[in-house]
Amino acid sequence: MKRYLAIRIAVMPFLLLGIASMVFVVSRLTPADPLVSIVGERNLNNPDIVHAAKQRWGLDSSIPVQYVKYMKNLLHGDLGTSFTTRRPVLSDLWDRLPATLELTFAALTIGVVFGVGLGILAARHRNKIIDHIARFFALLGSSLPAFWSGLLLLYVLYARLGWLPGPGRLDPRANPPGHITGFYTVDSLLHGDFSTFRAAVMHLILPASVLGWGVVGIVSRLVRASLLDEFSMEYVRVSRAMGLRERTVVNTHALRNALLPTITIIAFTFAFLLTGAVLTETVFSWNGLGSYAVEASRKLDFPAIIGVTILGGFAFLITNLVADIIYAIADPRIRLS
Amino acid sequence: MTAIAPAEGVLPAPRLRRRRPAWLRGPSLAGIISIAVWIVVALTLPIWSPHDPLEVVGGRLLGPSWSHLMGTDALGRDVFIRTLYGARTSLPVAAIVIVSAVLIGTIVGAAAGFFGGWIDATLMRLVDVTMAFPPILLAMAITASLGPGIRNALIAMVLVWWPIYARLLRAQVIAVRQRDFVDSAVAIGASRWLVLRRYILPMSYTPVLVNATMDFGQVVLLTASLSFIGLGARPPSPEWGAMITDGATNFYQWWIAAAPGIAILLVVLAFNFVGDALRDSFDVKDISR
Amino acid sequence: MSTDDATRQPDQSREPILAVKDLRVTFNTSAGPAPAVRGVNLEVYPGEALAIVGESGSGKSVTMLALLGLLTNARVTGSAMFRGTELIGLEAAKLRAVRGAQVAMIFQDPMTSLNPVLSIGKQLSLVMRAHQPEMSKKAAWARAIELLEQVAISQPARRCDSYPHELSGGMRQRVMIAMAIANDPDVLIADEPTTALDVTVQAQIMELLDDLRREKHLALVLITHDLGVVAGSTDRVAVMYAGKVAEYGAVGPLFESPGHPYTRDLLECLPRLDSKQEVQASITGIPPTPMSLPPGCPFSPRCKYAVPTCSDAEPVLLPRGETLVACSVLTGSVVGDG
Repeated sequence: MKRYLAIRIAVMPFLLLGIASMVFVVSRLTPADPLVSIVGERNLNNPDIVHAAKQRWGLDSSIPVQYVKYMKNLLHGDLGTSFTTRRPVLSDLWDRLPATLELTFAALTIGVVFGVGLGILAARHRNKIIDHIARFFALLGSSLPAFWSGLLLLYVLYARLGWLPGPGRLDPRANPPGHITGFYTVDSLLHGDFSTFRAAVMHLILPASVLGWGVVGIVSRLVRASLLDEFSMEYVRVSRAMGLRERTVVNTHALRNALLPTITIIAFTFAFLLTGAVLTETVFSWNGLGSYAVEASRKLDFPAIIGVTILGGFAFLITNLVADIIYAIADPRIRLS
Repeated sequence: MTAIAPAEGVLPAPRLRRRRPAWLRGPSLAGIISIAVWIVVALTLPIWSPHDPLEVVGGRLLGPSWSHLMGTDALGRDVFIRTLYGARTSLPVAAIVIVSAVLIGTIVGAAAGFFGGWIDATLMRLVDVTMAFPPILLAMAITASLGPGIRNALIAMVLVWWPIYARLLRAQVIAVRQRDFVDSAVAIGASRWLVLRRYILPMSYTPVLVNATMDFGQVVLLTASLSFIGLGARPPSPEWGAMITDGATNFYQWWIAAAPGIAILLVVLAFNFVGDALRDSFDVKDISR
Repeated sequence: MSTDDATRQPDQSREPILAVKDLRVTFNTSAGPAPAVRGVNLEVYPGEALAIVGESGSGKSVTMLALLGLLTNARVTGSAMFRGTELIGLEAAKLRAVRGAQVAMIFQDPMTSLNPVLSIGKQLSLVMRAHQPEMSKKAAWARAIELLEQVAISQPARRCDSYPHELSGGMRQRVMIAMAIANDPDVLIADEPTTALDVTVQAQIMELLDDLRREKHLALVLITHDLGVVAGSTDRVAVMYAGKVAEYGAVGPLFESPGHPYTRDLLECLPRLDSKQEVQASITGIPPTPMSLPPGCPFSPRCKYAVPTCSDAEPVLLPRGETLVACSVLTGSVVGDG
């Protein structure tokens, strides 16, 4: 296993290189002058900007040279400058990252907690009505367009009933807590500002639930299937024969084994969450990477789009690796071999 | 307990009730019917539709009524009719994406699995890298680069989706290639192409079918998502995602967004029901995501 | 294979600790009800060793699983009295208190009987704390080490921290036995405890079970398909065929003068050191499934001594010599409802 992980870590740079190369190819897909995709339509008439960009990205030279230049810039963390914000894309991304992470973590928590719970219920009541409801609920989660269900829930719970606050991370006039981690919930707590904390949590509930619903579906189906696999195992029968409580049999014995594959799926889920975040953030005016990507796409702000795409790829790779490592630690058969 | 079982021939042979397969029962059957209805509606709509999707039929932002089941939008167009017309975009787009992705994926995956060596290594690294991106981000980047529009969104989705099938096919080919009957076919002098076509590809139909069914719904969702963002179908064309964008701007006129959303939900749910049942009855592992 | 009759005689004057009467188990299958156990009567006396012998599918394991309420999708009727308590139909919580604490069971495959992701000590502790909730985790762990020592596992303290995959098959079965005796049960049911093990290890495990039975005065129910295991280590034998007891009696008489043709066949199949036979015998035909029982005596289609009347009615257990035999040819009984 150590060797496997070592190999996984060793190929990481190559995969990262692959991701960057793919993005380079995509950025050169545009039928128009790549210059447009770097400085934007409006700046084409400004010879200074055009010259500087040509210089920096080597646009006067051949494609291979451009590629090398591109990689060099990337290695220095230079993702170009956004046309819309006129700031380096990297610092834009850095500013937007905490909002997305806060939303994603909240959604993941909701998804895993409810998903595992629902999965256990469904497995224990296999083929009974609870199982069918859980199955429908799970399928609904992966069939709902997040941008639509978000809109609908906002309309009902905010506009009609007023139970939850509207879009945004805080009320439009509220001041965000002083920046420490960028997570409003954590920062407000660190500052001892409980009313802001409460507001931040209330604002999180709806988008995180919309985003987490899909995860509930994925996780509950998987937990159900692997629990059923475990229930047919001999050691479960033995535990019952030894007079263990059904709760102990499920929670201590079977669930441990059933959750192992769930760890891996959480990495896949992360991709799902990123996808969902793009749309959920748009609906909820959540100032994160997703809405940044959407704004960039709408305005054809290429450096920004490319930047988010690279970051998404990196994040996906890293979560996969982390999941593998956690899996290895959690399973004694692998840990000790 | 005498005569537990009577002598043979006394009773009729035990009735082996042939149950309908799981994918022809319950939710899955509902899904199949729903898909069929959508297809019929999409095909015949121009014949019986009372309005054109772009036609202004009355006042703006009218609520649902008997004459306009889901009201009218900001330009006074019938939301219900537009929603039905949306199927004429979403269904063919998803079908083209899935068929193209399956074709490309089959060719690449079968080639990789069959030839092995450096061909396999190269193709599979390409697959790995493509699958390393969250699908929507890569699709967004490609569409944005090619230029917004439904045609480019379609190309982007094919480019994002084929690796799933390449991986699936490669795993199948490798699994089947190790079976004895392939060895014997090669031993009696069957050509590689014949072995591939006659023995290996037929074994791969089921998992491809199951995955394609599940993915069809996901492609419908992604199409709508890209349009919602503004990268897919542009206004005024009646596309579900774009219509929801309209609905978001007219937030308090809930019906504008509700109708296309329900349409997406119905179509995606239908495909998910069928796919889920197919997967269970063929016991296919979901390897796509 | 010596039979020390003096110590082997069960104390039959006492009440049986476990008495099974007319136990029937019917599985609900998609093809209809499948009667797997069709009226079994058995007694287990304190401190004795009873063997239940039969081919796979004869209902021997199902009988025991049924009385512990471990079957799903099955209808169980009849009676199983354990120390004055009726186990069949007993409410779940009370039955759970009996399982593992008073009647423990170990299974065939020690490879899969232990949870791969929990340490040995943890699994032993769970079993103890299930019945003794007041026991602290620390005390349970200490007792787990003692138990491993009792089942002759070397370095018990270290083994408590081990995971199942780090142990050999024999060691795992010892751990299973430790688990079964953890709560000092009165009855230990061992379902094919040695089948999955190497021949050399088999003898050690049987010896361990035998020692524990004497030391702790527990009744052992040994479920096996192998009459060879039975001879050296049990007092009485019940031979099962097609969900019923075919022959029932003390081990000595049953081996010396077997009554039921099926028992004879089983004995002939045993490899014997003193045998002059070159070719090992085997029983022709296959055992019937619960769905395809032949009319009359279920063994008749495979029986060398079958006469046409054998298919008329199912024979009941009647005394013949020193054992009870269900064979109408031998006992002259053709009537009766089994």
